[in-house]
Amino acid sequence: MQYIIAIYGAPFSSQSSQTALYFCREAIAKGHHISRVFFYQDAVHNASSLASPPQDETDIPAHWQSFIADNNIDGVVCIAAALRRGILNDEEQQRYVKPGSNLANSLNLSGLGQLIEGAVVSDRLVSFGA
Amino acid sequence: MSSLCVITSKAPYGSLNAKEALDTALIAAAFDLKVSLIFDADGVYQLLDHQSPTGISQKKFSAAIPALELYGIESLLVCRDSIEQRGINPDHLIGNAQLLSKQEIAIHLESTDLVLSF
Repeated sequence: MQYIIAIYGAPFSSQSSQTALYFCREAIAKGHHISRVFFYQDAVHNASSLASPPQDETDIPAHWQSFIADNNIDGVVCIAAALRRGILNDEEQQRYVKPGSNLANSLNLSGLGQLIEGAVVSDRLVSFGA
Repeated sequence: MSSLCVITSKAPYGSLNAKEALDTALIAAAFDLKVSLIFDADGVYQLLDHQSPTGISQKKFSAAIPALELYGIESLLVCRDSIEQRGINPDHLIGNAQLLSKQEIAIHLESTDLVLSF
């Protein structure tokens, strides 16, 4: 079955990011296909390459970033939600003249249309709220 | 045409949740989906008239509601239990929203292809 996943909660102040990650791992292990993961609202913080939790804690953003790269998943971060929360790629850094960019390599900034289009063409939309 | 229902359940100010839910509904309408919006729990406060958020430097959320029909969102649904629990007079709601019981909301969701809950 083909799934699209929507995540809304921030990685360390809500359980939704970790639960969604475990759901996706299990779905793939069971032979399902994750066509896209869409990070919206505070979940855009999973896309930061700068999160640096203590070494004895689970680095949820890093786990998401490597999971998406390892499984060739289309990882999309809502651009409007990301920009207002300080998640920028190089292009947006230059556009808004900011001192740095931090979007993880395996993820892309794009619009909400990617969530809607992905939901229409997938068998299941599963959302993980804040 | 696929149908999508956005359930919005947070108050209009204090977090960006209501705005980001509304944005999702608007984009879905732009993608030609048949979009409905359900105002549930504290989300019913989004529809109150006479909002005046200038003191917290916010845009008036309710200003977007009358325009929804222009963007193709014709179905605005309100949970009747939620407004009764909060002592809201239905006459103070903007946007020609239709009041539904929990059971009617369940029936509506059953007939909808996609549901996004905020």
